Amino acid sequence: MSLPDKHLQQALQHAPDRELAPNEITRKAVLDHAAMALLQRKSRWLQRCHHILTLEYWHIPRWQLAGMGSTIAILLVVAVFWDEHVAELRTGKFNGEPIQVASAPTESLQQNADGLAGRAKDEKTQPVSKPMRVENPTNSRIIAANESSDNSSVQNKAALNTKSTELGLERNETQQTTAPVIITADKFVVASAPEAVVDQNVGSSIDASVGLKQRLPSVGVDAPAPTDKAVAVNNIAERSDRLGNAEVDKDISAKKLALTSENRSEAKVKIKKDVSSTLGTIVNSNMAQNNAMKSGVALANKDIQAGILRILTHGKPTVTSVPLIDAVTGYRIQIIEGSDVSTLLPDEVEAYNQVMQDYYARSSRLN
Amino acid sequence: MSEIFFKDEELMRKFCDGDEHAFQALYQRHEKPLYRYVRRVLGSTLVAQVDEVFQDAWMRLVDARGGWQERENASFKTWLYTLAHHRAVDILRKSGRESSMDEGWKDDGATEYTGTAPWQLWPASSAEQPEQKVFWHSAGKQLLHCLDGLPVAQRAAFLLQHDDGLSLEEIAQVLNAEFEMVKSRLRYALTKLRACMGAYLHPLFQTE
Repeated sequence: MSLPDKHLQQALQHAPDRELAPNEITRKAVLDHAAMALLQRKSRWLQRCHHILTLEYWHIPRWQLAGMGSTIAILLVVAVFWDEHVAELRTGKFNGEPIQVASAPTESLQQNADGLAGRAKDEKTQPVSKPMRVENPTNSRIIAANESSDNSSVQNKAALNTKSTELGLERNETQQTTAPVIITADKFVVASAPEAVVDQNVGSSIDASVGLKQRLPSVGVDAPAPTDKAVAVNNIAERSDRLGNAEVDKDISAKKLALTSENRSEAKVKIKKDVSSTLGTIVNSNMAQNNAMKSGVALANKDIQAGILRILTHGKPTVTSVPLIDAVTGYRIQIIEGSDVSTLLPDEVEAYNQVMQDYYARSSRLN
Repeated sequence: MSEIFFKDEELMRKFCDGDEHAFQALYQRHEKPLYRYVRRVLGSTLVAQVDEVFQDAWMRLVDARGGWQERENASFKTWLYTLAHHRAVDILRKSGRESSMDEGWKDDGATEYTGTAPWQLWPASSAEQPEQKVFWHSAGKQLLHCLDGLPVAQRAAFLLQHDDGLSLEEIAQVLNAEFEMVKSRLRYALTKLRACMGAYLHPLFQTE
C-alpha cells in the first residue's frame, strides 16, 4: 500500500493545474527578498568594521566619544605648537636660520662712550634725564629705545643729536627708529614701551648706548615710513654694508628677529582663531548628531507604545506587493526618504532601529 | 558552470555563502511543484491564499538559511515542503477549513474497492490519441475534485508521494508525523480516491 498508484499518479500529471505558476509579482518579491538578505549580510560585515573603527564596538556612548575627540584635538594642537616653540629655542634656529645673539659691548666701545659722555658734560649740553641703559652687558643683551614715543626719549634724542653733531654725523639719522627690541640669549621679546628699558641711575651705560646709537647711523635713516619696518631694515642692511660696522650688523639681526617675531605672533593669533572656530564646528555637529539620535529613540519608544513594530531603512524604494521583513526581528521594513537623505537621518534611523532591536530582544527573552 | 548540475543541497550551501544565482536556480527548480502542492493542499476554496503561502514559504527559507547551515545531511526539498505545509495548515486553521490531523488515522468508513477496478481499464498515459488525451485530462480534473474531499493530512500525504516523489520517511518529516501514521493516511487516501475516481470514470468505459 505504500507504493504510489501509477494510474492516480498519471491522472495527477495530466491535471489541468499542471502548469500553474505564481504570478510575476510574487516571483519578484521572493527573488528580491533573497537578494536583500544577501545585501544585509554584506552590510552587516561593513557595519561591524565601521563599529570597530568608530569605537562603537567597545560600547562607548557617542557623547563620550565626542568629548574624547574634542579633548584629543585640543591636546594635539597644544602639543604641536608647544613642541615647535621649544624646538626652535633648543636648536637656536628660527625658520631655519640661526638666532643671532648680540654680543656684549666691546671695551673700546665702552671707552668711546665714556669719552663722549665726558665731552657732553663739559660743553653743558642738556643732561639726559632718563638715560637708556644696557642692563647687563655681560649676558648679551641689546636694548634699543624708541626715542620718539615719550619725553625721556625726546631728551635722549637731544643728547644723541648733540653728540652726533660732534662726531660730524647727520642729525636726522636718529630721528626715526624701529620698535624697541630686547634680545636675550635664551629668549627674545618685543618690549611694550620704551620706559621698560630706560633707567636714570646708570650714567655710564647710557653714554655707552648713546655712543652705540651714534654708531648706528642706519637706524631709521631713509626709512620711508615708521610702519614700513621691513623696508627700514633693508635700508639698514644696505647702509651697514657700506659702513662695515660690526655693531650695526648685530642690531640689524636683532631688528630682523623682532620683525619676524611680530609676524609670528600675528600668525599664532590667526591660527588660534581658526582652531577655536574648527573646534566649535565639531562640537556643534556632535550636538546635532546626539539630537538626531535622541529623536530616533523617542520616535521608536512612541511607536512601541503604539504597537507599531517596524525597522526603518533609507534607500531606493522597491515596489512589492508584500511588505519586506527584517531578517533579524521579523518586523516590517519601511523605506523612507528614498536615496536622498540628510546627513543626520542615518543616525536617527540607526537609533530608532537599535531601540526596536532591543525591544525585540527583550520580548524574545520574555517569550 | 551552470547551476543545473548541482544538487539542491549544494545550491543551498552556495546561497548561504552569498551566491544569489544559486538561489535563483533553486527557485526555478522548485517554483512550479511547490506552487502546485500549495494550491492542491489549500484546495479550490482558498485559491486566493496560494500566492501568500508560497511566498511566505520561500521567505522563511531565506530568513532561516542560517539554520540550514547547521543541519547535516538534511534534504532541501523536505525542508522547503515542511515550511510550505506548515504555512498552509496555518491558513487552513484560520479559515476554519482544516480537519483534524488525525482524522485519517481512524477508519472513516472508506472501504477497499473490490472486484474489477475501473482504473485497470484506463488507457496508457503515453497514448497520443486525442480521445486518450481527453480522457487523462478529465481524469486529472476529477482527481483534483476528489482531492478536495480528502482531509488535509491524507491529501498532503498523497500529493507528496504521488506528485513530488517523496519517500515515506520524508513525508513523515514534512507532516511531522510517525511513519506508520503516514502509511495509514496514504492507505485511506488511496482508497477514497480510487472510489471517487472509479465512480466517475466507470461509465466512460462502460460506454466503450
